[in-house]
Amino acid sequence: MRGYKLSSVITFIFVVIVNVVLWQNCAPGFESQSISTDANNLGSGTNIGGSSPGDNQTPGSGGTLISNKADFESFQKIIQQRCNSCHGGADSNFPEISNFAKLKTLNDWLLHPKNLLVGGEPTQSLVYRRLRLARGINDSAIQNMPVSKNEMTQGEADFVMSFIGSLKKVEDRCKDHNVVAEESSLRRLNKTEIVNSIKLLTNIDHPFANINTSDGGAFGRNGDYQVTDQNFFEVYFNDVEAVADKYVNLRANENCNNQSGNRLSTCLQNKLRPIAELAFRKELNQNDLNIFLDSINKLDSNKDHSYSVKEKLKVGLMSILTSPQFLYVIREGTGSGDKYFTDFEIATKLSLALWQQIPNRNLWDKAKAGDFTNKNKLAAAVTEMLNHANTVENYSYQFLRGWLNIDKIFEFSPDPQVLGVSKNQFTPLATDFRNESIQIFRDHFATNKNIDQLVTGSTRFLSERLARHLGINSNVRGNDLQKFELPPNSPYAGSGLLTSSLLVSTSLPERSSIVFRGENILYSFYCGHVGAPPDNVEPINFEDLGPNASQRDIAIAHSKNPNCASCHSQIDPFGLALENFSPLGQFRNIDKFNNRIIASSSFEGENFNGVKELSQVLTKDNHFRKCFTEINLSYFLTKSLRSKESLNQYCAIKDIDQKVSAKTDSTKSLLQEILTSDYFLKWKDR
Amino acid sequence: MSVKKLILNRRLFLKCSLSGASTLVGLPFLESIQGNKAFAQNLNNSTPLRFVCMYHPNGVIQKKHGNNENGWAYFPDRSSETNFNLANCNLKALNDKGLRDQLTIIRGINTNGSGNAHMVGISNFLTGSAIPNDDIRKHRISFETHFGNVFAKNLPIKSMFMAGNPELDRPKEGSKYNNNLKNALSFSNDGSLRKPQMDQKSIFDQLFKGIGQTETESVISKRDQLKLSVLDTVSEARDALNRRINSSDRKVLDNYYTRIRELEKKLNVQFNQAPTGQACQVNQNAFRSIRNHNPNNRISDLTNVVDNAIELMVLAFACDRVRSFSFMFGGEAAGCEYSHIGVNRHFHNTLSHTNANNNSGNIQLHRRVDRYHVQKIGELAEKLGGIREANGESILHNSAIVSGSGLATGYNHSRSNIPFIVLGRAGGGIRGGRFLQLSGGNSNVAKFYSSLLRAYGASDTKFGDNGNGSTYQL
Repeated sequence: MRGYKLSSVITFIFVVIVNVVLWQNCAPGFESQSISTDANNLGSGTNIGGSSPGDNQTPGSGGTLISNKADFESFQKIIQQRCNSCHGGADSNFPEISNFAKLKTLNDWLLHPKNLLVGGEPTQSLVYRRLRLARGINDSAIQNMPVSKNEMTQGEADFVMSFIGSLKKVEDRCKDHNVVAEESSLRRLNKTEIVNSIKLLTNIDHPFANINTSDGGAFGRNGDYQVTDQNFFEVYFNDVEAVADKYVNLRANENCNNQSGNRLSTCLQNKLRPIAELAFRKELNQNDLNIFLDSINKLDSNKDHSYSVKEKLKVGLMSILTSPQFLYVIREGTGSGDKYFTDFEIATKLSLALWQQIPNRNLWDKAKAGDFTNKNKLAAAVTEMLNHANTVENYSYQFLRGWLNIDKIFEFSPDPQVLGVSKNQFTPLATDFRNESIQIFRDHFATNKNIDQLVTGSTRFLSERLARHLGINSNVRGNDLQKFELPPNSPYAGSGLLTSSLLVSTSLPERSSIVFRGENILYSFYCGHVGAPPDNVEPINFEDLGPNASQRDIAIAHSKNPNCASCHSQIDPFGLALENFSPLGQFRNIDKFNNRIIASSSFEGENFNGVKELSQVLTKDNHFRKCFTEINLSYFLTKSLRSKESLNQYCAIKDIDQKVSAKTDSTKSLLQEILTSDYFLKWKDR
Repeated sequence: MSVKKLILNRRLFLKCSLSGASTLVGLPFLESIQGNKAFAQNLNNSTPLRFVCMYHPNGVIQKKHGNNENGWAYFPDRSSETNFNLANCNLKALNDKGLRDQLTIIRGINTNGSGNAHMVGISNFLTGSAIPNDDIRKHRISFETHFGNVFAKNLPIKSMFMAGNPELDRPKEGSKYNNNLKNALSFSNDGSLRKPQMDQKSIFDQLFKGIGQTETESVISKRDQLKLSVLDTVSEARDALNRRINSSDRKVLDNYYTRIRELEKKLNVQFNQAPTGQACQVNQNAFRSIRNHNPNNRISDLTNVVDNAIELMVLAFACDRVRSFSFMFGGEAAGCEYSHIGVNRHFHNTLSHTNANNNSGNIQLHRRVDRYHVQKIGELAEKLGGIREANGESILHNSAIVSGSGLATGYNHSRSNIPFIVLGRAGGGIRGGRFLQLSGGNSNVAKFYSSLLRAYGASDTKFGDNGNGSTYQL
């Protein structure tokens, strides 16, 4: 056993070294872009000297570098000749390393997470730092390349240096970037928005129980993947009828019973008009009024049946709530190019994003007054909304649902034979875990904490049973969650949301999962991405590891498999650092086989051990803050943004992040920047 | 078709029903209540034809590890097309139920397309069409929808998509694969994704509306016309709205107006067709704990949901309310559990991802899940086989129940040789009692459905990616 463990450690160290030494890439976003022919992407064109192949020259044969398309092609050619025998993709002898064949455009190189090319900075560029000929660089942790006999000539190496030096820094290129605007995407209100909005309009709290909680991409906030099938419509329509019935019955004494003729019509219109104004998010014109007036007139003219005043009020309300002007977020206007949203549209966007409901009368009045297209008034209105209790309540929950999938914990079904607890027994704790995550985020938001505190904080919200479950010595009593500051020596301290419900919601019924934990950290806290598992991959035989193999041993064996390594070398390091926590989220020192837990790991050259050091890695160079900015921009622009996907998206995220870093560096500051930026205020046709 | 006439028909039916006549009405049933075209068409063309898809996720265990049930493979040992041994494989339950003659086993079908294997598999299974660019926001019509269009032209509900445990619809950012895609089995006429129905009480009400109705004709008519005035008005406002928005948004709204039109049509038409015979006895109490399942919660005990779904399908066929169903035990890669058969492990993450080359405990549990699916499919076939129709044949004879999975085996995400069986004779076009081994150009899903259309007697057999409609004999 001891020998076996020793070999595992050696294996792990070897894998770590391999991962550090070799360049890795599994970001799928680089696969589909074509070769850029935009000379503007290629830098200043300054003659910086050194050897260069020139347009018609063999790379490395001398000449003067003029950065243009030909230079980029020459660079690619050198890489292809000298590097792609190992870095060439599917046929590579080392599939766990970066696949240069995927990097088609200069942006692909410049935005690569490993800083392969840093514009204007050869010595900061990993490609140059790795060159065998780039001597004199104090970087002993990395291996010089190429490793085969296929060595680069001095001329080629000089050309690579010159080429990198000639490129504009990404920051400089961002000066000219296009605004990433919300794309035109008509969407239906999601369930939460429907429930809240109808409550706002009618004061009736109807659950719409049979409508799915949310559907659609980008946090359930755009129209992608939204299904409005017959079943949805009929369920919704029946619910609307139930709401209308309740509404008219509650107002039996205040409807227009004693009226008739034109006076009745006016009375009904006076009752329904304010509702329609809010429901349609606009000042009404005659077409809008007709939506409820015509349905009432149809009842009046029905020859088979006569309808009461209550029924007329009911049919008017049903027409408003069935109309797409209420049920859909509609952007008015046609044509190409970026456009600014109107006042009512901005009010709607703000209200849906922060409060999960259509604008209330206060916001409606501000929209009518033009406040949302006035820069100063907009900023004031946003500040007011961010400080409103509705934002803490609704944004926090809705954002966390999409960001950390916090409700997933209710899907966790522990195997009682292995973990000693059934799903039903665990449900109260699952509820505490999930609610605690929400409370941590709400507290973080309301108290204006530094963004990094989300992964480095020590504030918990504990019930008596949760504290007992986690082994936290506190004076908390009862089932209500209470704020509790962890002492610095607590194993949970300094890890924020990393040691909350996430630890459980990623567990399998019988054990914790290094892969699922790692995947969640990579996606949600590091904004990394890996592709889908490949098809037809034969499984790894773990039996050689013995019956008592730890999950760490298995993960390491997994990441050694060439079919798996390219992605699992990105995923597993984060999960390994959380091995000190059981599938039920409790701190542990040994696993079920009495193996001592090892939580050391390495990612992109950073070694770390356990969750506290993981937190430090995530926050180093403001990486987490940038990722958090990326995710929030995605939320508010209702589309998935990835800084590594395109220059425009990279620049947008960097732009917001820089503005936030100059201020208080809190989530509120971040939201204030986003919500008053052109990114949020403009849209374009898809 | 006037509302008045339809109501008269419904009232006549109700009179029969309330007087107890419905239980006494044998075949052929009352001519005076054979009001709609679909019904007349079926009388002329013998009895209605039906289709069911019973989909189970994550593939099956195909490797045989022994001769007891802990080592069985899904497919039986085969000597020839008609010589195969069902006694030692996970399809045994079908043999035990006497369904061998109604069974067609097909090996050699592959699900096509590139991208995430689960999504490719499930979205190919009923469409016979590869996902364009790994993106199913725009796909092709699925077979059960197509079948409803062709063989249930005048029924208000042409097809229905139900599920036991679909993947829950939660917005998870960062992942390219929206949870909806894990349920991507069924698609509408325009290729848009359909959402599975889980609310079985609502399904019951949709299917059997009107039967046992105690409200007066006038009350029903008055309420329906109130609803129609709402739908009419909203529809009429369409042009004014369309003028203000761009064309891509207009397309999204078109879908919404289609939904409005469909409901208008239902309110106008109502259900006026009569039950087909004694088997059509609608009684909600006959269902086990039928209730509103919350679509936002996962079910760990599928017993009631699956059994009720089977009862709903059988009764709907017996009463000729719907002729085409798809039912999904669980979504692909979803967190399905099968605690009711003693399987407390995560079906996808744990069981289906275990190396099936070794006969471990997880693999044996996987086999138990495979057998459960087969058992339930057999129960459906058995019940349909017990109901005689106007042509003297059983509903099962007049149906095809297609069952399988978009993946062949979960652990390696293989999509070659997916599990695929058919029960029933499609009205006589399927021979039954055969184990087909397909290869080459016959291996795609689309060609199977073309062949099935031929078996049903359809004149146009083009379907999915099989653009020329070529077929083989089922």
